[in-house]
Amino acid sequence: MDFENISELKLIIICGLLPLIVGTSEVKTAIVFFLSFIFILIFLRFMHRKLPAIFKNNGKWILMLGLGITLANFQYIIFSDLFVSITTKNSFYLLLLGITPLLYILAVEEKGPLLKKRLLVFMLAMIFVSFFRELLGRGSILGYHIFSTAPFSIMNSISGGFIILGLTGFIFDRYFKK
Amino acid sequence: MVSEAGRLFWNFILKENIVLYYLLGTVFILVHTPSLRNSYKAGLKITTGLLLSGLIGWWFSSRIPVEYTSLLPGVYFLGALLGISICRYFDELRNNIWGIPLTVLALNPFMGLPLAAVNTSHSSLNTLFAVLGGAGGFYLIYIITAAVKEQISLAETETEFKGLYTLLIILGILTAVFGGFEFI
Repeated sequence: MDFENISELKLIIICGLLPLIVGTSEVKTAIVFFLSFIFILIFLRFMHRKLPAIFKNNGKWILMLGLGITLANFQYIIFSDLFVSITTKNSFYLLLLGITPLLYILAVEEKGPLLKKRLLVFMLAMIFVSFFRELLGRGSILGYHIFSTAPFSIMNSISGGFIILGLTGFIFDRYFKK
Repeated sequence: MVSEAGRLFWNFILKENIVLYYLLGTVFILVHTPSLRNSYKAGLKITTGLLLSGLIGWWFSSRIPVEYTSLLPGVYFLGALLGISICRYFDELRNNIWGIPLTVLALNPFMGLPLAAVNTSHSSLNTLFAVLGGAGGFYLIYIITAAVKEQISLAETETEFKGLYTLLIILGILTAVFGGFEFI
């Protein structure tokens, strides 16, 4: 299985695995995770551009990772006041958002159509996965109950996240190929 | 107290496996695992570094005064860098992938293990057992993923079913099995 030369969609799915699975149990959670991701990304991109030239290779990456973790911590403090219930449930993962590989791939990416495309695909995947996980795993959409009981309670768990993400990958691949 | 430590140890290996439940290092394992034959040795090297960073996190978390606990993420970060250095000493994590070093992918489990262990346990002994269980669980999934990847590539099916998405679905089923089908 070659991971070096993979499609854009696979790259986004694999590098953004953490927010795409733990941040998609509900649509609301997905929105908060995406906003947190964007918040860290904006500052990380800004910091990356301002990094002095003396930081090269490993030094640059260690500094970037340190910044990412600090920003995740900072973002968590801000967001915990705005979205109390979601941040309390996902505090561990919101802190770990700072070491999501996709964040660093996008942070060093030059501004252009590729960056926009990657962000758009990531956003669509977050919404798509969270929509179906909430509908099947909880029987609701945005908190409004559609089914009296959850049709597939497995979708509410981490294993459901993996399964839905795998299926989403297959569907998106077919759609983009056409 | 010992039974609680034992429960945490087994939880971190199976039910709350750090790779499948906490998603620490899932990306790294998916990308890094070589063939099954080579994965035993490579996995041991990585797990050694992971265990070291976990033990550093455990040592500091059990000794740091309460008023300085906000410094712990920084300590975990430095511990993770030390663990990664050990792996690099064993000739691992030296490559780049997608324009970023493998170190960036590896930082997730190396920093997350002590964080998860301290978050779940309330005593120093429990944290230690959680760290040991976490490292064991990581090695277990490393080997299983290498085996699954090899089986997928050998399967007689269409090429599009031999990729990442099938692997994700299998990991999902594996997570359900490890968790004891808790969602039912």
